[in-house]
Amino acid sequence: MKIEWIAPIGKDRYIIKTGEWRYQKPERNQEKCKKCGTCLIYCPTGSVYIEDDEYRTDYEFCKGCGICASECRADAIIMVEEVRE
Amino acid sequence: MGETIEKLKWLLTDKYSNKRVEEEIRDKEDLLSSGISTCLGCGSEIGLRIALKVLGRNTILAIPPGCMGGVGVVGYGTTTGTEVPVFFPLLDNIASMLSGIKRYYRRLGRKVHVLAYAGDGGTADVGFQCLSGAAERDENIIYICYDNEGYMNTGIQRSGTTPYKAWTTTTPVGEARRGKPQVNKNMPLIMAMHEIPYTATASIAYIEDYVSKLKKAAEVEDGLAYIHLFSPCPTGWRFSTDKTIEVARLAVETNFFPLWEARYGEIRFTKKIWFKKPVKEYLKAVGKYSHLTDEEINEIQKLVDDRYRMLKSLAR
Amino acid sequence: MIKIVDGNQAAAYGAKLSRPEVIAAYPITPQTPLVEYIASMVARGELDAEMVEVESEHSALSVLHGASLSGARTFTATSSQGLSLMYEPYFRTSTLRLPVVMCIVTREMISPQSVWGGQQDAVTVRDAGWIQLFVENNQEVLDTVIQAYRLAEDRRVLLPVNVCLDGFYLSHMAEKVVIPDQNEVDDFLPPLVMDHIKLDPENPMSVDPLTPGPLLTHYRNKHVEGLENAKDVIEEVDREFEERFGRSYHGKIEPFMMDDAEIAVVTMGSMSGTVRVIVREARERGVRIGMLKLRMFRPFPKEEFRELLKDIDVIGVIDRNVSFGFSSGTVYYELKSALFGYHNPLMVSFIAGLGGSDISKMHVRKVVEILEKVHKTGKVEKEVVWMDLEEKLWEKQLKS
Ligand code: SF4
Ligand code: SF4
Repeated sequence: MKIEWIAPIGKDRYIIKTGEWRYQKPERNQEKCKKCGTCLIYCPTGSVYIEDDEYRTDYEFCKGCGICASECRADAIIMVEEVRE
Repeated sequence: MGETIEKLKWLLTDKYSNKRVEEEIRDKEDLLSSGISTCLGCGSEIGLRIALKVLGRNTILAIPPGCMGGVGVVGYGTTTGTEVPVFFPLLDNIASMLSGIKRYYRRLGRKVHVLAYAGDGGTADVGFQCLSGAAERDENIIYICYDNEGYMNTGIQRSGTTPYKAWTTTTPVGEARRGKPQVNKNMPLIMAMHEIPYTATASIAYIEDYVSKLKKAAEVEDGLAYIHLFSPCPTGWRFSTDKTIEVARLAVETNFFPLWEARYGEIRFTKKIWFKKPVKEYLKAVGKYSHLTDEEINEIQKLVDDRYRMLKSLAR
Repeated sequence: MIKIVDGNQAAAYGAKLSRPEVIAAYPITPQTPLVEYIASMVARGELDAEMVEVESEHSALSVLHGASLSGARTFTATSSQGLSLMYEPYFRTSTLRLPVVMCIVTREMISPQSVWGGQQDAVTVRDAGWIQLFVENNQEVLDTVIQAYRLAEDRRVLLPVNVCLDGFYLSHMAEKVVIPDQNEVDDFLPPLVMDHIKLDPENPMSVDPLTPGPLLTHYRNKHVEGLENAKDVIEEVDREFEERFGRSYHGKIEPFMMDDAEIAVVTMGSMSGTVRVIVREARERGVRIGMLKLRMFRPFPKEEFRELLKDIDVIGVIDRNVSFGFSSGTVYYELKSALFGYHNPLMVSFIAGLGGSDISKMHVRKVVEILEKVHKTGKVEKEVVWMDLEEKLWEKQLKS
């Protein structure tokens, strides 16, 4: 006998498109970037990733908190205002 | 000359070590859903993401009611916020539920990490009794307290770890009372005095230190491992969302929150502060202390010095 | 094997034979010897279980939550204040559908300060979603613990079960008890399979996510369905138990001398023994009286009561507890509401045996006397009768 859903459990992925909350967006100047990885370890949402040997931001979940920009020693990240309809 | 000193200072700060730890953890699986609804700049989210990266899939995770529960780590409806088994313990039975899980898995001969990621309320206040009991019984669990110094999920109320004079909604600032009138519990030291195999303080600003402590905690097999993680909260502490790491760092650099570890109660500092800053610098960075007078700041400086001195006298 | 054992020991034997894998308990009078018996069974190596000596009852049940969610068969026991400290995880045991078995060695609730018997503790938590079985003697204690695991773990049920034994009257009184063979019990009780809710890295899921109202309503409905199923499953379990062990407890309700009865006395727990004697005595006098021993208090067997009581004119219910708010015994008013719209017998509530007071033959004779009078006159003079109160026994006690 198979028992389904008699007790509270969850199996699907919980995901909220937190990128939609953003009112400012981190932009990285790849020339200034020293590839130190600081932004990657401190990003709360885990939105910084490496691709083609470049540190990049995944904007799907980045909430625009600005930690990466504040912590970047090379001043490679600036926060730019994001206007939404 | 000034420039050289600046450079030297930097070499001695945490940022220098970030590259090493980044290389270590960046390719590890992120087991926490990206889309959990923490506030912007949440320190506790950093702490949890990294803990799961270090401990990996073979982990059972307890997320008691509180911020991390509220933001969806245990899921909503029929969903889950992590890729490891995760559950809501009650706020006051975290360590007991974990004991039951670990005992049974050990009996089955299966090695799993049994991890609590609990706030300060569930740890130092209402859940303290069962945590103390589990520590005394040498239950082999890993217990991380993410200390954001209050009941943030219910809207910033004081807890046993809210520091002296700090503003919260239940310790407001007025004519008659100015913030919390009592000094906070020294929770990590209390745990160390249980003489458990491993106790540590950690800070989200010092990821390398945190990661090494997580690894040590994971290796413990003969009892409880406790990590007290300093986790600033922009929403509840009143600072801007990009300053979370800076605030956490200042707390360490001023000895407001020293980093140390203890094996069976034997304490050792893990982060030497070469250029100790006055507590004022930390307090000025955090809005919940914005009402403090110079006199009050001096009082806090003295408290911090006294606590540090006591810790030092206990340390090797 | 036949042994002379007290109720706590009988419960410990019942637990041991059921092979629980994780046990957690905290001592409290009158349950303490039960924990000690279990601890010594573990120490002697007779019982291969993880024993967790917790720092509170709250933790005792919480440890079992963790163990049960990992797939373990679990056991604990408590009494009164311990049960009320447990209330938070207690409620959650049933709503998470964890098949935990817990003995309640029933005791009065304070205040006034008391460590003696009474069923106020177990009865007070009746609507927290557990199954509650009350037992009459030490043999029934042992057998019911074993039955409880079958019931709790049945896939149609999957709910926690309380085996409620009267503090002191059973827990501390020694009787002859047949201890079944381990292999016979093993045949009767297969290992637990947990897959409806589980914490296992090999099959990750979240346990108890935040649940919105409509989904919560679904789970509540399923929970009630499980409780309703338990009413049939207990009968099956009891029948099979009888086939294998030769002893039966009639599932939910045991009728005694109920053929052609006009008057019925409803009992729960150890008082039933005394009531049997007095019912037989009254029968000898020609009174058409019988007894219904309520064994399954939760879920309340309304349908069966309606059937068993359909030809009864007068019903007396003896309660070892008080319903604050309904101002009668608890079983009394529940039975009354179960019969409403079906039958309309004359009913009297008797409150007796509180705080360790005896329910002696004298008390039961008085019950029968009142019920006979009601039957004769067709009138209930007093709906709720508090035993020992009219006699001002407490004043005499003060003087002595
Ligand atoms: S702004 Fe915040 S969330 Fe976005 S990438 Fe930077 S640190 Fe991460
Ligand atoms: S912190 Fe700045 S320098 Fe370092 S990797 Fe990120 S963008 Fe580049």
